Amino acid sequence: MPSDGRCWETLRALRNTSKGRLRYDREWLLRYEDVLEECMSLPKLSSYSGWVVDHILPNTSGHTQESAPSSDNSPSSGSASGLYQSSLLKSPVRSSPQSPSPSSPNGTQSTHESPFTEPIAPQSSRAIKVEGCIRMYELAHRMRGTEGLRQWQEEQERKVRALSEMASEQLKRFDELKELKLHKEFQDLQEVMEKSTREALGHQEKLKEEHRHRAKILNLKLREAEQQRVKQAEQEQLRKEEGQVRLRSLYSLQEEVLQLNQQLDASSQHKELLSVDLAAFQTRGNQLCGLISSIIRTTLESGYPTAENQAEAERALQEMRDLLSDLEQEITRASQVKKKHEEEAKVKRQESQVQQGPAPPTQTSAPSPSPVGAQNEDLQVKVQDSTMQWYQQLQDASAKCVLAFEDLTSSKDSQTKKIKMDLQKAATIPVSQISTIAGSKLKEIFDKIHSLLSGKPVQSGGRSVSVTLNPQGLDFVQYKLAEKFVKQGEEEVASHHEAAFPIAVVASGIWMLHPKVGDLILAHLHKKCPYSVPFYPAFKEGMALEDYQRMLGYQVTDSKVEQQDNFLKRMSGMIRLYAAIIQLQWPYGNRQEAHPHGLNHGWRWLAQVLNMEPLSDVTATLLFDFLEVCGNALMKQYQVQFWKMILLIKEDYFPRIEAITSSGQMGSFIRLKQFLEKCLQRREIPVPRGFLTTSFWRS
Amino acid sequence: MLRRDGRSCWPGRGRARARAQAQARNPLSLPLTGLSNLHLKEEKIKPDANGAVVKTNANTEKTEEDEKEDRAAQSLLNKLIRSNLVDNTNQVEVLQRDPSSPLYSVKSFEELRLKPQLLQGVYAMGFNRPSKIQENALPLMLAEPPQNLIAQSQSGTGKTAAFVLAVLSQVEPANKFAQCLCLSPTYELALQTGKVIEQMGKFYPELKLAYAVRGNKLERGQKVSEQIVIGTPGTVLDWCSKLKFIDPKKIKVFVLDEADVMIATQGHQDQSIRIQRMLPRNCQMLLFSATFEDSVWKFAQKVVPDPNIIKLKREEETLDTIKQYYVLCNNREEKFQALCNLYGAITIAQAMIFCHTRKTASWLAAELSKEGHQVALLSGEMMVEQRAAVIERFREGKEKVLVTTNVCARGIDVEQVSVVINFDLPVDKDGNPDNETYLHRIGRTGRFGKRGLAVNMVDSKHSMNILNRIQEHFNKKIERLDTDDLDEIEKIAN
Repeated sequence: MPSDGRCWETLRALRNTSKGRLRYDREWLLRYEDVLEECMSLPKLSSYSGWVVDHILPNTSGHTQESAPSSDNSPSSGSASGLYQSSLLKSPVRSSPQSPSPSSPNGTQSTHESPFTEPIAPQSSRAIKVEGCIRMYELAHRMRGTEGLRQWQEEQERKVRALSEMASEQLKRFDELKELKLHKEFQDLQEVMEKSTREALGHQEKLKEEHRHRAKILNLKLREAEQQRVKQAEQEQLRKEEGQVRLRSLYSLQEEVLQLNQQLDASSQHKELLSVDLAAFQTRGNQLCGLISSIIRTTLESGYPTAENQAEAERALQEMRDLLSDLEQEITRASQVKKKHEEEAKVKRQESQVQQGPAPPTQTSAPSPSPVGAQNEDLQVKVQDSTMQWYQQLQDASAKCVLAFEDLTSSKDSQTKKIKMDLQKAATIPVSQISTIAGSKLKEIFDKIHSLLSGKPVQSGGRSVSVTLNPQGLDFVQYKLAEKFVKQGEEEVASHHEAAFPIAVVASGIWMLHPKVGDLILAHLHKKCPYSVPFYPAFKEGMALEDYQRMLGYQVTDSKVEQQDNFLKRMSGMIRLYAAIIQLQWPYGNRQEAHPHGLNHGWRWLAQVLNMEPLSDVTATLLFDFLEVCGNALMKQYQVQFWKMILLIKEDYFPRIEAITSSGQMGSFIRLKQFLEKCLQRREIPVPRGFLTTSFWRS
Repeated sequence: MLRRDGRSCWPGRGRARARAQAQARNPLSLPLTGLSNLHLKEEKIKPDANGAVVKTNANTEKTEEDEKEDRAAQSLLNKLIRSNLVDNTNQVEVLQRDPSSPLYSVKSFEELRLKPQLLQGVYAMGFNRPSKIQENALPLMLAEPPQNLIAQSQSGTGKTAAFVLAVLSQVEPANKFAQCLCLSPTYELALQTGKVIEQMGKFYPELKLAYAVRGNKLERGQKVSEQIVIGTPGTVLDWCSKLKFIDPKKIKVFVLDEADVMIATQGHQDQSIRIQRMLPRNCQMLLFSATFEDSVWKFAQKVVPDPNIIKLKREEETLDTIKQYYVLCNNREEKFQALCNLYGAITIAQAMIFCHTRKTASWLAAELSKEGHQVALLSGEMMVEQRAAVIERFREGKEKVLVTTNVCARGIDVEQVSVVINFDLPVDKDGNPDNETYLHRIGRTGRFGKRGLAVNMVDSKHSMNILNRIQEHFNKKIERLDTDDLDEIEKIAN
């Protein structure tokens, strides 16, 4: 019902349109005669009548009631129905392809219902027609829309499907691409790993091969080395035995030569009675002694003497014997000559006595004055007795000191052991702390040592230590301290020359305040380095070879003698320390007091060394070290006398050193020679490097 | 009715469109998502690859630079601190160019028949006898006609003195033009070598030396009148070719020192070869290197034709001159106490003490200073110059104890070091014994022919295990030392 109301409103709206407001034309009949043909002819039912009756007839009554109030507007409704008719005519054409099947049953039904329709008035028939057209059109339109919608939906679904397929395909492609990429990467990685593996395997194979090869080579080498070792061991044993035999023989030869040389010296006493100069014999004798010494030094350096060395020594001995024999012959001849001269003098005296009778005593004394003996120019092979006595006294004092603290060192008591350990550390560690860093540090070290020796407690290892802890503490500390000074020189100064000065100045200061420590220092020094006396130990019959070598200062371990260069270095270290001690004085002490072991000992040492035959390599090395360290000080103190000494070295001593120096030992001699020649040229011996300056003491 | 139809049609149409759009969007979004994912993955992969590549390159460059710097620094450090000969006990292997000619070695400098001025120079420098490398190298270098030589030799073992002798023997001082060329990889190394030449030639007043190094400018068109030129490859090449200060055809001896450091720089290698090409055919050529990897060999063979070869055998330095002991402790305080007892019993000129960490090293240095020792502390983060300065003070005896960590074991040769103490045993990153470091550590003593002493401090079963493995490796017995018995300790020192 509401929808019907709206329809009428629609009609009313249509009526208000421009076409709805069309006016009736009175002259139309004249112009359009054919228009009325349809009206004048009998009405026919269209093919749609049946359909309208079937579908709309139950509602027609409603429409009829509504159409009754609008009968006044029949002209408008007529034009409207005309429009609808026109539409209806068109619509069958459009829907014809779809309508044949429904049209046929409708036609049949319309035939049955035709008598009911004819009696209806034309107005209601037209209305029904229009209504039918409208409804049919609505249905057709709805059907068309539905169809279109369905088609559109199908199209959309098709599109969707296509897109979906496309997307799916694209996704597949992407997946394939990704997979391909991953696969490629995996393959690359695998390839790299495989390559690495192959390389590693190859490398491993190479290494294995190399290892196998090397192992084989090493096995061969090992076997060969073992054979060589065995062979060498045998050869070495033989050589060693032969060498030892030859060495003992050499020492015997040396002893014999020295004895013969002493006989030469004894024989030379006769020369005071003779007018013959026998210096040449003594010179040659000394040269032969030096030669033997040189041979022994060389053999010690190279290991064991060869047959050539022994032959050379034997030739020297033979020459010495010949020399002695010649000397005796010379003496005999001189005696005979003297005897003859005396007889002649006697004859002359008798003749003159006969002539002059009363004055024979006066004339007798005149012809026989004593001739002035030539100066003794020979050099000794050992130092004078007073020095040896001094050396022995020092050694005895040292031994006595060891006895004094024997209870402390040999005690089994743990408390005593602890005290001993603390005392030893307190005595020795400060010496190892001496350095060139600053003078104030050096003073601290000195004060610490001085306090310990004075009986005061000192801190060591976090504990308080004093010599009063044990009755023998002072002796023990003095001995260990002195030993440490010398060892530090042997160890440190040997490879670092400048270290001599700080160590020496502390030692000198302690020596001043505690003289016993000084004596112990000398004892240890002489023991380790006999050349500091200076004293050249001689081989004694029955002495073991190793013991002799140790006496000379060599370190012997497991029957192995240390190398010559190392030996020279250790001796240098101790000589340098000694040379530094004798010239340095502790600056904070009483400067007015004389040095307990001053430069006069330097002069003594130098004179005594030059008075002895040089030892190959050793004398040159030690002279150089000594002069380099305290040459400047000696120069200042002894001035002209010192320069005379230097000239003596250059003109007389150098030829002696050169005579006994073999190839391979020239280094020490050349350095000494260069040093002295430079000093003579400049007329000055420079201050040694590392000498402690005033700025050092201020630091 | 029409309206109803329209309404019924429009909603359906809208829904269909919406649905269609939704369906359309889904496949559209899928590819987008897929693309995005693929793209993201690509980005993830590419940055990784690029980053990895970049990192690899960076690592490679850094490694190469570090290695080059380390080598040059090491050589410089060796030259700076080694003023004496190292008595190398390594065996020497000689490969002669002409096997039929007689091979001999000399035991004294006199046998070389040097000029008197040269002999004086050698002795003035403190040499008494030739060192191991010199025994074999000198006869070859000084032979007539001159022989080419490739020799393996560590810095500080006397090779500089050896080739300087060869150079000085060949020089005619009366001729006022460059006759000998020496190449060094760095400015500092060149200066060090120059010092030796000046010392050795002290008694040759007419002999002059020119340094071809950066910063040394000569006037253009000028000729070098000094007989010997020592420098770096780049500058020497410029002097020979571009600036024409030197006539390469007049060079009689060409020395290439520190070849292993030289080839670490590509430019140096090329420059050296180009210089060599300019020299006359009869010029004597000498090449020295601390190591002989394949790269060094290739380079050496390019530069030196028909060489005699002197090589160190692969055996490590023997430890025969060093006595080794170990001490049992429980903690670092006990270790320090044992150290004090060692000082009380034996004479220590100077000592080197190795710790595992800087912390331990600092602590130990402080404790030793408290006791009155003069202590130097050396560690890895120091610059080369700083390290050299510390070592120099240690060598001068201003400090008597050097406490240091692992990195500095190699290369320090101070003659007066009589004791080396492993306060901590050397281990690698994995906690295994580091045998090479151990060898280098205790090798700091027992040098120059002296006997040395090495003491290892063991503070746990783990340490003892490490020590045992070190013993097995070197097949050398390490005795136990009781530091509470000073008399026993004194015996080992004699």
